[in-house]
Amino acid sequence: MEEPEPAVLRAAMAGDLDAFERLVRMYQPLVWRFLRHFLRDEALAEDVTQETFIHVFQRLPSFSFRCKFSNWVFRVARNAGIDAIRSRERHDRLARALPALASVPAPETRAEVQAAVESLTTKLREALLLIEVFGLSYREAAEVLRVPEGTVKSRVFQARQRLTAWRSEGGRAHEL
Amino acid sequence: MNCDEAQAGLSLAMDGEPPADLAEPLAIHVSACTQCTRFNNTLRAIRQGLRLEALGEVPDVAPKVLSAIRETTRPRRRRRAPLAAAFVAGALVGATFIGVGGGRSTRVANADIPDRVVAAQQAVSSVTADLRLIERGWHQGIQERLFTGKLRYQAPESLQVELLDRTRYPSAAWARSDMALVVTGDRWWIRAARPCPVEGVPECSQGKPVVRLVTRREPFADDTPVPLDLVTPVRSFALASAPVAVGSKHIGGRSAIGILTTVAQIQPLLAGVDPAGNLRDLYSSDRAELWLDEKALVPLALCVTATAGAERDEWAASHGYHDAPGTVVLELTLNRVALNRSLPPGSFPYPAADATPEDDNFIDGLPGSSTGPAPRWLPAGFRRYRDGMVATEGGPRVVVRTWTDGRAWVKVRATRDWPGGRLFGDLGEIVRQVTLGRGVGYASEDGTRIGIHGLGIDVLVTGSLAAGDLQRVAGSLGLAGLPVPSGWAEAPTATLAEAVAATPGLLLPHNLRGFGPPAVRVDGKVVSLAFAGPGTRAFLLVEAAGIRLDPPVDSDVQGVRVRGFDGRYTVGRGELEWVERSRIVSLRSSTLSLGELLAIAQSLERP
Repeated sequence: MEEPEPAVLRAAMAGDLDAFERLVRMYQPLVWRFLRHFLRDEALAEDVTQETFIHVFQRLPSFSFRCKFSNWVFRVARNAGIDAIRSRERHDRLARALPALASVPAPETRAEVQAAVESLTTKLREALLLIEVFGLSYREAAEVLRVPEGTVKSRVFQARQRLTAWRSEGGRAHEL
Repeated sequence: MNCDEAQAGLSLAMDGEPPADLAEPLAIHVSACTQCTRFNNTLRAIRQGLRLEALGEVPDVAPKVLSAIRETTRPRRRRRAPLAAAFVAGALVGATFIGVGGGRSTRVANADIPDRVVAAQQAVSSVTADLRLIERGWHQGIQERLFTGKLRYQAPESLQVELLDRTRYPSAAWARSDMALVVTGDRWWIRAARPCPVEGVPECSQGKPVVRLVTRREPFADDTPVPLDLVTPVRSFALASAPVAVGSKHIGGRSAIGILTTVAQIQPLLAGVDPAGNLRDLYSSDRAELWLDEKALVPLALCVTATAGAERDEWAASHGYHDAPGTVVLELTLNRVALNRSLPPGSFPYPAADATPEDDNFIDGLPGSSTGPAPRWLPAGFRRYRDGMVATEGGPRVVVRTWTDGRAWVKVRATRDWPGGRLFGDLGEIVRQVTLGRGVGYASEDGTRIGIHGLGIDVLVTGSLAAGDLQRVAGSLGLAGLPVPSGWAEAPTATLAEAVAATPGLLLPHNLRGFGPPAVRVDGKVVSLAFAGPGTRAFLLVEAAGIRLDPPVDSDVQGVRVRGFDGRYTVGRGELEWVERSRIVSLRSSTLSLGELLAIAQSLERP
């Protein structure tokens, strides 16, 4: 995953909005994609992507260069996503979206896989997404999720087992 | 190799981290197993389906983000209830040490032990001991694992912990979990087996050990900690209420007193023997019997016993453990303990140069123009340790000054380059405002970190002292601490009295023991109170106006009665929620059990 130029990052940390805009444009496709899978709602994902970057801007001064900037952004996005899931106002929208999602037919493999992933529990889904979609290493994903590396391995394995079972059973509407 | 093992290996291999020496048996198994072949094919289909998804048009949020930032430093949306930093991912808990309500006679006799432990650290200049550790339940195929090793400590922060794995494994395929940590002030080195999930053992435990070497280390650095609780368990007792005594006896010729506590409370001590995460996980509410030297309060023995209960069973199942209630899952003994003897040269040997050094960027010594603030008051006996400066690329220039006495320490970090937005010093999401001399400061939930935002200077004071003493040190720096600016993350910090005044009907714990005063935050109509106790014991109380709970988002939700109302408990998040008189109340903890949360809930009263 691409990392920002140190000069751009330092400028953004110092409050340079032009530099920060470059960071937003660099990472917004990744953040939005992650949140779309994580939240299972495109409109909500766009809102939370926006909120993620506001959080990133507010917290930039505390970025300590002890991890990759991209991992740090993922961590902020993931926390914003968790907050969003728990928000009553948004959750109502999410709850309305869920039945429609579950009833979507899966005529093609790609849609079928995505529907299955969306049916995983939050913990399994986020671990799988970071590894499978964004290509993070187990160590990097552990850093984002703030869990031991072994836990990431275990969750990814569990997710894959459940997806395999899901496919072999022809798909189920309820959460895996 | 069975199918579960093979599929675990296939999953790891899919991500480019195949367990060493597994390729051949894995290939043999998969070639003869249709189930695993199907599993492998499915993994590839999943990857293809996800990585090749049609993205469509990615929304451009940059204009809205920049507009929001320009308008205000806060997000335009309502702030949600923040989460206390204490709620790290981890074990759930379940036991009976909450300390709400009436006292017990067994506690009275040892009421002063927490204060004595904190005070005793100043009298410890060195410790040597042999270590013996037995672990049970790590893996179904291994009845118990045995480790032996040594502990060497010399004040203030030279330390060596070594544990050699003496377990008799079924075959050479099982890698030994040897571990060594050596800290000599400015150098920090660790070598340990690479951790892997239980279900991946023994295959994934093969491979090179993890080795890290950090040079130019800042004294008492957060990121390269010295497990000083192995020497004196200060963090396990700094906020503790009177402990439950289990008696006295002799251990290795030393008089010892026994204390009944929980894994969560002694977590800092346990982390000292497992800095790399190679031992099994322990359930936070499991019973821990800790034996301390009667005079020096140095740990001599520890015994962790599995407790009973549905919550614990669920936790064990999720970790792949099969602990029967009453099973001793971990025993640690310190033998041949010697205190305050001069250690011979070479007691902390430099490790072999087997790792690329990581530079922590601390430069010893301060030029005359960069002295940084120093406290006018320190506990008797404290003297200067190391002063210096940290200047990382892109980060603020920080002056660091430290003082010590025995194992006790105080550190003051100061910078004039802090760009703001939040307090300097990583105090956590919820802080507590404290009065410091002529101004104010902000304490972390557990009181071990105090931040000061002054005119042109930002300061962090940390240390192993009792919270009151640390506050006194911070107050003697001669700085007039200012309230944080309105746009900073900590701006909604409030005192308890302010929260009560702003929130009619606010419920607060009554007769709560074993926790410090809460850090309080008021975000509109949401009040968050973070309570920290000894070790990792902590909980968050959040109250907000509302008449119904959100629909559950987790699958592990169970219904419970709370204070006569219908509520729910989410196991994975450790969260108890209910609605009471048009208020949504949430109690959340990663280290307290449902029973303990219910006891706190029951104690809630209007002030």
